Amino acid sequence: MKLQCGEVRDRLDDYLDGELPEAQFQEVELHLAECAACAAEERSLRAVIARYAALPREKEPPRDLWPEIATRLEAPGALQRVGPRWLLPLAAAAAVVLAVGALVFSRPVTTPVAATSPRPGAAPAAAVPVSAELAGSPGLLAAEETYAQATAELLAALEARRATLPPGTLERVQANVESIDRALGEIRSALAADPTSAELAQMLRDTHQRKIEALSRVVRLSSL
Amino acid sequence: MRRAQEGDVSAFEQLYRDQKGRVFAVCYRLAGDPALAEELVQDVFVRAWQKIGSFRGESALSTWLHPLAINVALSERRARRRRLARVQPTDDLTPFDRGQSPRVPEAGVDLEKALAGLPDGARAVFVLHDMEGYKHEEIAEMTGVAVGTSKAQLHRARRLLREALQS
Repeated sequence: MKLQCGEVRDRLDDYLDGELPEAQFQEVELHLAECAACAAEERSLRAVIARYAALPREKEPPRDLWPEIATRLEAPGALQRVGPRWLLPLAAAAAVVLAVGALVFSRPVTTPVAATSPRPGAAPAAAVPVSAELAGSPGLLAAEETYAQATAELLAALEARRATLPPGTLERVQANVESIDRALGEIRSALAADPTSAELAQMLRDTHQRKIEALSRVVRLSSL
Repeated sequence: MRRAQEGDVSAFEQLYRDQKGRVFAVCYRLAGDPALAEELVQDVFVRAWQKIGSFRGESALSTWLHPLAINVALSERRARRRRLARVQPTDDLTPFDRGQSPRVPEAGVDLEKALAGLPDGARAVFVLHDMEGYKHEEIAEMTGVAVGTSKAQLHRARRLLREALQS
């Protein structure tokens, strides 16, 4: 089937770029061989492409940009766009907190048959350390330890900047963290009594999440 | 190279000296504006500095740097469009209008000026396709448009350039 000029013009770009299927390519070629107008169109487009393809691949900047680049490189962490410099350790600590949080959430929880878990309401052994409670979830334990360290660093960084935070912020943050830590303690105790409980593990994760969000909020608000 | 990875700024300066022409060319052509292009070049090398630790030498340094430069230029373009969109809707991706007149060409307008005079989206696709050699599928992914849109923009760019250069 012969192509009309309009159809050929629509296909010229794909033709020039070698993207036409074989049959259409042949049809366009046939048409171009017989139609002077379309052939001229094809030639002019090809010429534009060729002229630009021949442009130099390099172009000298109007001035030497290195001094400004060097200044930016030598700023601590070369992260000048992140905001005031003192926020950098906070941002880093927050990133760790969030990453650990993600690790905690993604940990799958196995839920073995209920018969193997202790009777609900059985008093937890008071001296059972965290490691025993979470012995069945070493990943969770490691995550908690990393998390605790990151949180401590974050709080220390906030403490060091106390003077620049709005009054009372640090106290509110600490009160918040303390109440969440109390909840975490209770959940861990409950886990000691019922180490395989999926609900308790989920509560642990959710409570960590609350803590992460509370601290992240402070970091974000401090950077405004 | 190794010294640049180890944090030697003066070694990194050599990378800048070697590559600035290539990086400026692509930033200038994508941005269509020399002042913006200068800022982009700085952004590119700062980003390269941040990432140079991850360069494993599996390709030539220029090969590694080039997509990074394009990425920085396109990110800035996206950010600018978001800012503009808050003020006014952009009409950059309207269908090609055969009746549309090109930017007024001056006598002897040169190739770079004609390119800079293109609408933003058409220029980006033209530079990436006809000058940098990317395929439409790659351009679509890099710029966040459909392949069909990329083709339409190229179609538009080539014809606008032809008009601009014919006078």
